[in-house]
Amino acid sequence: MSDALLAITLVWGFIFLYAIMASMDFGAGFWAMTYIKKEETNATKIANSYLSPTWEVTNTFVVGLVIAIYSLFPGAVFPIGVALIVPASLILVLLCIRSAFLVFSHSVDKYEKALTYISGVTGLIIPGLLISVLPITHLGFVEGMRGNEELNLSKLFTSPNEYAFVGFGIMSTLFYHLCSCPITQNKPMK
Amino acid sequence: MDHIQMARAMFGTNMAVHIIFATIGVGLPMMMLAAELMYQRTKDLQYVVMAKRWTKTLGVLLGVGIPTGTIAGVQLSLLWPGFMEVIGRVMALPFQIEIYAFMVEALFMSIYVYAAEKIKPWARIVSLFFVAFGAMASAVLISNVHAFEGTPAGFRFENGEIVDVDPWAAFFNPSFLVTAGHTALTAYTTGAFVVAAVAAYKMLKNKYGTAEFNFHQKALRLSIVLGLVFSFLTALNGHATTQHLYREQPEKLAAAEGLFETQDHAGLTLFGYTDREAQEVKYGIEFPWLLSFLSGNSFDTVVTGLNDFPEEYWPPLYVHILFNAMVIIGSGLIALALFALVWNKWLKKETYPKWVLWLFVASGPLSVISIECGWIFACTGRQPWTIYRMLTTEDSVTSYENLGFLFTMFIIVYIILCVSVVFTLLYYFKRHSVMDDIYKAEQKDVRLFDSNS
Repeated sequence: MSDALLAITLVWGFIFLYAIMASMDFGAGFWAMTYIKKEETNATKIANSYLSPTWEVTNTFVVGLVIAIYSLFPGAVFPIGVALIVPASLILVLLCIRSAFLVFSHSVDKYEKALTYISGVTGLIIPGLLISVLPITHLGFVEGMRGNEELNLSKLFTSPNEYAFVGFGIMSTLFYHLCSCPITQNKPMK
Repeated sequence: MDHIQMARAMFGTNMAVHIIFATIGVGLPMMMLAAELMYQRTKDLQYVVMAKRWTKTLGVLLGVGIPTGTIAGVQLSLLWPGFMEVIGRVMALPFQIEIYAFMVEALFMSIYVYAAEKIKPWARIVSLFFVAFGAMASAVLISNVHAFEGTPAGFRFENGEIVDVDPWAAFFNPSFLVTAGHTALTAYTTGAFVVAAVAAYKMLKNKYGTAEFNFHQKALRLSIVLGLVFSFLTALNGHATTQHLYREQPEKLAAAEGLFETQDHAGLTLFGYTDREAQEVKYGIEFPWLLSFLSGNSFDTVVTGLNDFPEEYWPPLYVHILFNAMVIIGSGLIALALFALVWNKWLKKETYPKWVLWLFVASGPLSVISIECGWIFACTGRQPWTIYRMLTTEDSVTSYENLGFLFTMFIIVYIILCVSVVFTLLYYFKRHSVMDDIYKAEQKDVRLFDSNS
């Protein structure tokens, strides 16, 4: 295996693990929101219990992924950084609000409803934005010469390709969570 | 604002918010460890209650500290891709090790919080030690990247290409120990004085002699002792840091002191502002010969002035004010803690006068301001470089031009977070009073830490 292949395997390994943990997290948020009105179901509780313990580790994986990319592919930092600055900033802001309110809602019961909506909505948008990395880097939305790359945002957001990816990201997150949830449903909840 | 300034303001805003939570996030575990150790020594349950309440506070603060840290880590690559390209080739080690330090902290934190009542006291202290160690190690490793920016080592540029990379030489760059030590010591100092501020405020709000008053007085006494130790160590380390500046980044020292002419027997000026036209510090108090002595331990030490450097290498001259604010607050903290200790231990006074308590209330916010001043001084004082004499800020910044929208978005989020974190802490501690916790602690079968999850 060449060095580059080894390195990219490591990066994709990171992405693979992150995808599993993050889907649990994001899917849980959405399903908790849809069940908020039906008090008798246990689904909100089940979904909420997935939200808490993993968020620190999931957040660390985001940083770990970025570190892996710039220490293994330093030459790619500049073009990737410029192309992804808008979507990545949006993801950061949403993740930040989501994790913060997750923590706050443990201390302030009033926040629980707000948290359900925040984690529900961000649980949909973040996977959509995360998967947009693929169309952005591979479908020619980055324009300009080397050293002056720029992401053409209007072209991106008017392209049906982008929405196909976003829809795929969201659907797979929700589907994955739905499949993985029943396995653990028998565990006692607090 | 031009493009570079916008990018710097954006990253600076993130760091200014993050550093408050990161600093207290390093300082508080040390205080928690101290309280647990005091409990082992005195068997006074109130120390367990203290540790529990600080753990809760830490948990809430990490809710902002970790996400803003994530933002900082990713934003480095988004805003400064030119810089991170060099870091990726030369100085990736601290970031890679930091991930593990963070994991250690998170792991032992969950052991300490979720298993507190199921494990033996020594195991609790060990897990708390690793929480404190992990937090401190993270701070030390990330500060090391900052140290490297000021005193780069382990690589060189040849025709624009990076050659002779030695990651460990970069890791152990000349100012690693003093800079990282400064971050750790000031974080402990801040942790102690932030606790002191809350305790003093609560003492002012409660009647002398009540159980709640006594509880907070215990917390204040503990933080005074630790605050004194760490602020004094900070001063010693700060002196070493300044001597490093004298040797390794002389224009930064010259700007900090507002020194234009190279001279021996150089004076140290407190207060005032640096006037670029008049080439002097206006409205300051000068202590003759002191700067030479502090820089090289002798009055004959020649200190290089700004005029010996091309003007485009000068850092912004307002760093004099930031440097002063940092040093003056730091010295004030030592004096305050020392006075309170003498008052209590040698003059044998039962409690502290009101004005001393008010000074302690101010000491918490002031120590945070001092941290902010120190960081802004350290980073603007390095301008126009991101890596001193190697890489300019201009070559580091992203080519993406429309930062205004993103900047506004981040500012709104930080405001929401800062307001809601204060609200969360006030709300929680209003409903979980000290007396409730002390009562719970005294009942053998009630689990004190349960409300921590």
